Amino acid sequence: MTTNDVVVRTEHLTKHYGKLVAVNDLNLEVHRGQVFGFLGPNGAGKSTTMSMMLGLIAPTSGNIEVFGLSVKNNLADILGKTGAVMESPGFYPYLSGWDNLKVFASISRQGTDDRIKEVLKLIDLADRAQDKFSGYSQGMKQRLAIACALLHDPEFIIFDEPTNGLDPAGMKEIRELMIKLGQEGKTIFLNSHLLHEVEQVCNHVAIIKKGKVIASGAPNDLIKHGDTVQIRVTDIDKAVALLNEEDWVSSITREGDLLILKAPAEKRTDISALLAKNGVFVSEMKARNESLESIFLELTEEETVD
Amino acid sequence: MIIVLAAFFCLIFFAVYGITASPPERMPHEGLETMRNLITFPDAFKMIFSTAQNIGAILLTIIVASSVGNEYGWGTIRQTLIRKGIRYQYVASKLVAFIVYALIVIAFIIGFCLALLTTQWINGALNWDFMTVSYVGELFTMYGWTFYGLLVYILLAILLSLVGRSAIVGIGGTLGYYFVESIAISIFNQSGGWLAEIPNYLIGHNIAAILPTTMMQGPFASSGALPSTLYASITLAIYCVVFLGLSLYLFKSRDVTT
Repeated sequence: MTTNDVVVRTEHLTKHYGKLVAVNDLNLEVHRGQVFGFLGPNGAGKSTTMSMMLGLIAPTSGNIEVFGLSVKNNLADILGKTGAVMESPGFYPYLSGWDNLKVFASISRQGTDDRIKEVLKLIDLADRAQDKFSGYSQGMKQRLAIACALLHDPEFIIFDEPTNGLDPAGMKEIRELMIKLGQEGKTIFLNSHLLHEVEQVCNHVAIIKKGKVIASGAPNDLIKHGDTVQIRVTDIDKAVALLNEEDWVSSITREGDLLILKAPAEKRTDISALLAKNGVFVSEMKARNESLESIFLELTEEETVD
Repeated sequence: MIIVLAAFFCLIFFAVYGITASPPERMPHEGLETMRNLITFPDAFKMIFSTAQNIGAILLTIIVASSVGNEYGWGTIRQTLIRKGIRYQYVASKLVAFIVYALIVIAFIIGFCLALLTTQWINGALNWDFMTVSYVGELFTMYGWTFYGLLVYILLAILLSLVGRSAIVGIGGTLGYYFVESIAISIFNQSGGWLAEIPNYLIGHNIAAILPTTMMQGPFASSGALPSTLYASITLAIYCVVFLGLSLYLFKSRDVTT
């Protein structure tokens, strides 16, 4: 991976609001062509991080670069190649969808009438383009925001909860659009609380908690990283005591007469060997299929307990 | 809002015209003449500029503060800034728009057309003899000072809307200052001593000082001794620079959040 491949790089990025630390020493890299999922519970610092990428919020300390340029000194150049769909899209309520797009196209001097028609068609809003924004449903407002973000055909697109307010069919269309944009070589940064959405759309994920990245990687790698196995044993208390001694067992929980272990997949034979050596026999051992959602909940809850 | 201001102009002109067209029986002839002059050229210009300065300042405050503050309420400020990151351009473009809006559209065109209309009604024909070179110069002076007086309130409304990130703060703050100041100036002027010096540093008192005596000054008419035009111009310029500087600084340095 060369420097040119990095679209976003944050180094020790920190944002304080008084005593509240919204983003804490965040180090992040988003590479060209990635569809990057940014996950975290409410208040984790996701929107603050996105706003810092767009120059809306100034970091307290640390650096943030987009396309290798400092956001602080080269914002206009960066925004010329960046589109963003922010949560709660803002448009002039007394103007039509078309006129709103004209206004924002003229502000950045990017986006012709033909391009406006093209993006309205792309997000299926062409028929209602002449209606006033105030009369739009939440889903239509969200579509207009996406159209606005795509007006200047940006290389890097930030989506903040883009399927908010959309019906299932609309959600599917937007997800397909994000996948298509990713396939076209655009770099996508997706903030969504819909974990299955991130799992479907993204090829790289970072999980953030209290302003810090706590896990990052391809969704499949993250799921593998959290290898979980369920076992049924002859003496459950003794098995717990024995497995607790092993540092490669990261967690043990009981579900009835089952033990749920988190341990690397290559250690599964060691589990049965260890237990058998101490007179505890395994009658059942099964790998548990996990989703990104379970990994997310596990990681964020662990942090909470700490 | 332009319709409201146009309505004010219409109301004033047509009310005065109505009185002059069918005056009350006991109305003295001099009074009737004065009223006629108000809505016919050349004196109609004074009415136009005076109305623009007084009612215009109030309505412009509402327009300016709404235009800036609503950008926060609607979220369009973020939509704008994520397309064009240069913040001072945003404030500058708003300011230019307000100045053009205030002076060219409102004060001049509407007032001019109405005055033209009523002049023709009353006199039957339009006589341009009064339009000498010196009178044109006087008109430009009135125009310039009207602009200058309005500019201070436009900048104050922009600053307060940005400070409060809301139209309400801009409108309430500017109009509150506008009315409270006029009361305070009267009190200070009557108090004497060092208190009587305070109005020399206030906006309204200095606007009263720059407005030509030929203009009707309305609420800006000050009971105390006015400072010189030069002093008032400099004082108002300082206010303009401070308001604009603070607006730019705040808008550039503060975070834009939801």
